[in-house]
Amino acid sequence: MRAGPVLFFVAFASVAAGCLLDEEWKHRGPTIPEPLADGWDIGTPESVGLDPGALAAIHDELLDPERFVGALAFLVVKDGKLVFETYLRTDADRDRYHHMQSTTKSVTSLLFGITQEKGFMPGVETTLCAILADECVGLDPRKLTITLEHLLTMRSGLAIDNSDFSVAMWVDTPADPIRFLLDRPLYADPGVAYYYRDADPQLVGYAMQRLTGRSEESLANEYLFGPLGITEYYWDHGGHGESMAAHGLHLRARDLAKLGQLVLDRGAWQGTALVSSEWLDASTATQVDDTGNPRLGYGYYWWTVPEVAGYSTWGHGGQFAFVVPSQRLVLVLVSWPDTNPEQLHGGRLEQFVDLTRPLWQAP
Amino acid sequence: MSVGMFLSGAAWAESREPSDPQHALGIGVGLRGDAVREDLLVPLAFAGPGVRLLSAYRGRLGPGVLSVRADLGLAFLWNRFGHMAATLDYGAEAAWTVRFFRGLGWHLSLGPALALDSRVNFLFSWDDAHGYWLGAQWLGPMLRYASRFGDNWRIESGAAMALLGFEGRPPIYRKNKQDALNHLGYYFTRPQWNERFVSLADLQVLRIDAAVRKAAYRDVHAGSEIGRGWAFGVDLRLARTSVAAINVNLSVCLYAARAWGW
Repeated sequence: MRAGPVLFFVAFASVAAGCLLDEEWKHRGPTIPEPLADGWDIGTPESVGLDPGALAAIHDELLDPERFVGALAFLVVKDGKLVFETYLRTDADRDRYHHMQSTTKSVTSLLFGITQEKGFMPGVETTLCAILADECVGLDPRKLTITLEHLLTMRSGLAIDNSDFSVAMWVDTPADPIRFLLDRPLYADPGVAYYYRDADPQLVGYAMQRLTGRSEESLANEYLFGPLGITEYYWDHGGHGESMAAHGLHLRARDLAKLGQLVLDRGAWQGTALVSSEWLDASTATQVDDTGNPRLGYGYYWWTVPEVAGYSTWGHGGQFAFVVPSQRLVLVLVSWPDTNPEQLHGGRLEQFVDLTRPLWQAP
Repeated sequence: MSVGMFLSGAAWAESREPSDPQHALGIGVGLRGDAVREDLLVPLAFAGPGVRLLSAYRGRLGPGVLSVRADLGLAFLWNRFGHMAATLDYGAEAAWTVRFFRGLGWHLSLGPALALDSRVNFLFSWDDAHGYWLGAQWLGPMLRYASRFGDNWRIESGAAMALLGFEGRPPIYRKNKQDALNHLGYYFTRPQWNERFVSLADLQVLRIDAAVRKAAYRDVHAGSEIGRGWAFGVDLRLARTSVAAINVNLSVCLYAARAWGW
């Protein structure tokens, strides 16, 4: 058989099969928040001094199919008022919770502060092995020096990247997950080198679970979500019942904005203190300068944005609660699916900072 | 008597000629074009070429013909932005058809088909390239047409569609990296996971095949009743589910066969 007809057919088949058409996946929905009796005061951009034209320009950019490709929700809170809220795929996304990815780490940080204030958690200088002593028997002596602060700043030295972590912890489920993590080799001595990983917050989660006797989800439900009126959420857990401290939380966009507002208000929500302001000051301050990204620093599971003296959560693919204290602004983006930032626009915090610049940059 | 036996897409000749073999077994290899739209991630169409391997059996069974087929395919796809994807699929099908109408040099046969369609799509830039599957086990009718022209040539065509069955799609929440490459079982078991009962309203599957084969009847080995042959066929498969996915593949295959039992 001659190759020509076959090649012709393959080309034809590819074209024919390729007749499957794209559909638009973004839509221009309403932008005026609806009062829902969920704890949010509703306002207008004009009432809080925001330029509606700037908001409209940001909205247009979010609707561009080649920009912020995964964007689902964009919310603006200023002076404690929800003034702009839009859902970019379907309005039904307002009432659904979405995967927060590594924004979960910032919630783990909040829970650390809460449980520390309540006397469960010791100071950050405490070593992990002082809490998880049984799992530390026979460890490399250098690992005995890993402190909670090392873990909170991604400097434990334990070498396991996030892909390997997810497979080993949540697919394979080791019999003793704490020991499994502590048995990883060291890429550097503890406290020396920043290396962003899921393993460190998970160990903080295990420490909290050990000292409180409760999962992070249980703690959050009582001390954080309940007081904030967050009722619709999901927190994924591992094979031993542990909450996934680095990436397991799912929240609605409005509820993510509440977390941002809580931190902006230094731990108080509608007059009730939930998290100590000292803890928030420390966790949203730059603890690590050398993150490999000259525009961003790192606190205790919060990213810092020095150019605006702000801070933000950062979940893979584009889950941000970006707080600009000087403008009393909370800017929220929720995205799905998480995307490869090297190929698809919108997954990086710097991109969101730049997008919202007209809202926070002083004229 | 020398005999050649040809296999085509979903089944082979249904003609029950006196000289037809009792059994035939064949393998095929082909090229194909695929298109995938995985709306659970993003409604962007990905299309591109791939390869396909196929094995098939046909045998007389009572008043009809039993045909069984299994295939495995892999294709690499791109969307309009140039983002890459891959799709891995495997399937099996068993059909039993009985001739119910005969014309001059052609006939139609009809019967039930039971099929397994499984596909895992990987959109490399989306959701960390996690696998999104569409698995279906379904039951439906198969209609086949066969005709002869000249002494040696046949044209065969058939169509089958799903009426009811089970469909598996990814749940909203699933563990990260469940499809790690060191978990090969995932690729062959996940499409049958998280299944629900479906009917035509939920899942539309259509398989159409057409083939030309040269009925030589000349190649039985000396001293045996085993013959060999070949065929050239085209398959179109379409699967659409209410849980947001559309898969299309169009393939061309060349088959080699051995037949026995005259």
